[in-house]
Amino acid sequence: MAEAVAAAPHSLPSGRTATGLAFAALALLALAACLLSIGTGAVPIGPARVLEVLTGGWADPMLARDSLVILNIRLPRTLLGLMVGAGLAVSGALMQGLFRNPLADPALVGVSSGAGLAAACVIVLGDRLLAGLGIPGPLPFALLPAAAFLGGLAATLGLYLVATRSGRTSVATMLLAGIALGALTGALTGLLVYASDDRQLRDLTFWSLGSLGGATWAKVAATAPAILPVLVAVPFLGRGLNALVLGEAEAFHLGIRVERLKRLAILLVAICVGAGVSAAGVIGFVGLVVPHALRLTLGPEHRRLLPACALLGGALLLLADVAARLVAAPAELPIGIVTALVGAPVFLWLLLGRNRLADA
Amino acid sequence: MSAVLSRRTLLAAALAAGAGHRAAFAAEAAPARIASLGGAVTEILYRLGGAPRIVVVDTTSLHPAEALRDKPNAGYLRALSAEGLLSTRPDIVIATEGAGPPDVLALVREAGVPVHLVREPPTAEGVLDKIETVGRLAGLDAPAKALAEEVRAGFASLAAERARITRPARVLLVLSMAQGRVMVGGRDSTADGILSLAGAQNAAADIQGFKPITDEAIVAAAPEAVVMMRNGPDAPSAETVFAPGTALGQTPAAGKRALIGMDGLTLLGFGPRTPQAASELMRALYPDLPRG
Amino acid sequence: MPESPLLTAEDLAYTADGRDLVTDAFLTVEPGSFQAVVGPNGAGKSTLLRLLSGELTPARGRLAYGAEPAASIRPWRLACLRAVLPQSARLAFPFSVADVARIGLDGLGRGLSRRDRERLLGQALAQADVAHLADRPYQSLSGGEQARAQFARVLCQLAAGRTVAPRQVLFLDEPTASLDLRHQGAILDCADALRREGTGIVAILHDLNLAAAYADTLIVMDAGRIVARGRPEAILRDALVKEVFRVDWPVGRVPEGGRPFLLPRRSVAGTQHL
Repeated sequence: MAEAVAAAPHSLPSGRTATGLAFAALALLALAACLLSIGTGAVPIGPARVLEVLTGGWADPMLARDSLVILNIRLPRTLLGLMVGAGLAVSGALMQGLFRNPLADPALVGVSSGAGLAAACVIVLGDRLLAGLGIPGPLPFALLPAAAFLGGLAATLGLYLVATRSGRTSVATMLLAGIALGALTGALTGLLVYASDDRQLRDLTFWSLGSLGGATWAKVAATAPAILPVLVAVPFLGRGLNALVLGEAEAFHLGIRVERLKRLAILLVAICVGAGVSAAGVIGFVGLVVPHALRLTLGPEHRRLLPACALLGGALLLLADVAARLVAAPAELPIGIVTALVGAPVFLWLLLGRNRLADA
Repeated sequence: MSAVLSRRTLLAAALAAGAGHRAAFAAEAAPARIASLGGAVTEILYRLGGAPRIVVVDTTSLHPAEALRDKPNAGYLRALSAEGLLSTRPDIVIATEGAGPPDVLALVREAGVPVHLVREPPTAEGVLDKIETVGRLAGLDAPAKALAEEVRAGFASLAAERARITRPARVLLVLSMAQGRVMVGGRDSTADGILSLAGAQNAAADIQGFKPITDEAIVAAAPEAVVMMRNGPDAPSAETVFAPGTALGQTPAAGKRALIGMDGLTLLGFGPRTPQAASELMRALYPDLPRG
Repeated sequence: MPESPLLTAEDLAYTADGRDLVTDAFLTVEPGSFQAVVGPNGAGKSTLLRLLSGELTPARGRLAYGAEPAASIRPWRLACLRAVLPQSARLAFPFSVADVARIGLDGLGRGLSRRDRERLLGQALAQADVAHLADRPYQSLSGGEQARAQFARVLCQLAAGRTVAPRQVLFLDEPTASLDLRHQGAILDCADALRREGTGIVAILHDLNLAAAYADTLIVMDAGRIVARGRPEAILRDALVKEVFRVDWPVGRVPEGGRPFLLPRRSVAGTQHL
């Protein structure tokens, strides 16, 4: 041991090739999911026609209907799904790295429920509030997403304030506070459910199950400035998150500004989840299953993991959405049901596999 | 644009099939393909003879039963899909208010398909207005006028019967009794609407909308009769509903065993069958009322 | 002219929840020195180490690396000046041993090519005797193997940091706790090799025999204070052992060099208090 043996060969070069291949596969999968999402739907449009529309045929009046379906319905829906899926998976991975717990999830620490509560508030109390303020007419549609976004941010900030003492964030306190916050927002949402009428109740249910059904270019335009910068920024947190895996003190010893890293990660998660929930409602399991599956195949190294999460999260959400709109066409299932149906068993399976590995 | 396109093709087909036939002129004014969303809208369209032109319905279109059997299902009224609706190539969407989500309806409108939301106040005027609106939108004005007259007459004879009621009964309308939670219809609900049409006083008027009610509030409401939704053959009997010890068992209704079971959709649907439903409820509540 | 100390601590104090965990701590780390911090549980050894490494901010006193006050050194540079081997660390994610060690190289140092880093990684894995475990998941290792993997990570950090700051301090927090005898000796031999190249070593050790064998200076702590300091053979006396460690074990001497040692002795009822 003391005598330095010549550098032992180990699997890095081949590891790098493997990583490159994995990323190529993920990118292909995401591309395939996009094509599938644009190419399929309740309105039957052949691949040739899709290509024709996409390559400039939209001006042709004979293609008017197909152009409309592809350009105004499927394309924004695909882009929104890609962004929301990527955002959810990346914020899941960030949260897990931050809490050094593979089961941590934005839903677990109350970020999603904070966003959901704010949405429920607008759905149930919005009309009355507007009437009280003397503003006539129906609720502005933009109010709901804005509220969800602010709700997610408020929940995260509240959580952070509770869990932070003299500039240090206790992960344990934060997890527990998150559970308490989840219970509180759950109770408040329950109160709103009680106060709501039938229509509002249905809207709440719709919101809580998630859907990409209302995707419009306006929503894409509102979501992109929130999620895309996060996706670009997130690999730069990789080194810090890797060091944080060893522990907060160890990360500091390795030269990481731990408090700043934690604050930044929390902010990015709030932005991603708030924007995602506001655009598509509450969609579960993406943030849990995608990072987990990638850690098993690609390894837990965060600079690889985070971009891979963005690709796989986007691809999987698109595939789930294609299933959601084809299974019961012309009706569609809430996408949250699809992700839960697929995600929960996969997650259980992953957990069992993990335990077997740990026991061996 | 798609609407124009398909209407033109259809018109051409109709002209080719029966040149000079009067139906061709009717078809030009009336939408040929209707997306009918909402129980009352579908029921009215079927009554108006518009069934062949309905291309898609929703899960709340339960009456008549053949609607959901014969037509594609667009899913739940409040969780529609834009592409799903457009895939049925409708010329018009006629829906009860509350259809959505709003973004989806906006996309459908953007595709050139007019979307009309029909208001649904739970009153006699509301029902008549609904019939005329649906008729006008579907280009079925004449049958709508006839149906409206028929329904108006039904409401008129109902009102005449109602006038003979000397003392309105306090009635509790129970929507469901799951796990001991009694869900009742309060004020500003379809339950309240049908009770007042049937000449009854809503015993749960302190509550707004459909809400679970506490045992104490049931006793305090002191209903003289209980109306329950009859769902299938295993509807609860008077013995179980008014079992001693339960809150309902301590109401005046329990002493008279006054439990009325009725079909929920007929009772709360506020469509063309509402006068009959209200009248049926009234006779059950006031068996001694002299017939008109 | 003698070389200036790598680290100077003057009058360090730390208080938590109204309790003084460390008071009046004066300490210098010279290049090529090996100091062992010993003392009973709760004596403040770990707190002192955390103060020296800059992890805790002292309530009082001054701490400087070279001539720079520690508080003004940016974390990245500090990471090049000193490394810390933690007591034990559990990982939540399935990092391999090579991954763990690589974290120590990552982003630290200057002018290192990917090839350089891989060479340093290979050397560190070999030095810590975990090269054969490089691809194994850290989580699946025994406590001793995990400690050695962490040591490889620390060696990586020092190697990378050396490209920026050649005068380094290595802190070891009970490095031998879960190791078998061979690896206890090996890890301290490895630290000793670093010492010979000029690194200052500060190690918390529970085993007074190992401390006496490797350290040139013992720092004896009790109740938050440094109560004795000096060459092991000079200060390790029966009275000190009895007073600080509350055991009545006699200190022996090996003939060569006069290194002191202790043999445990069963206590006679009534003569020992916890």
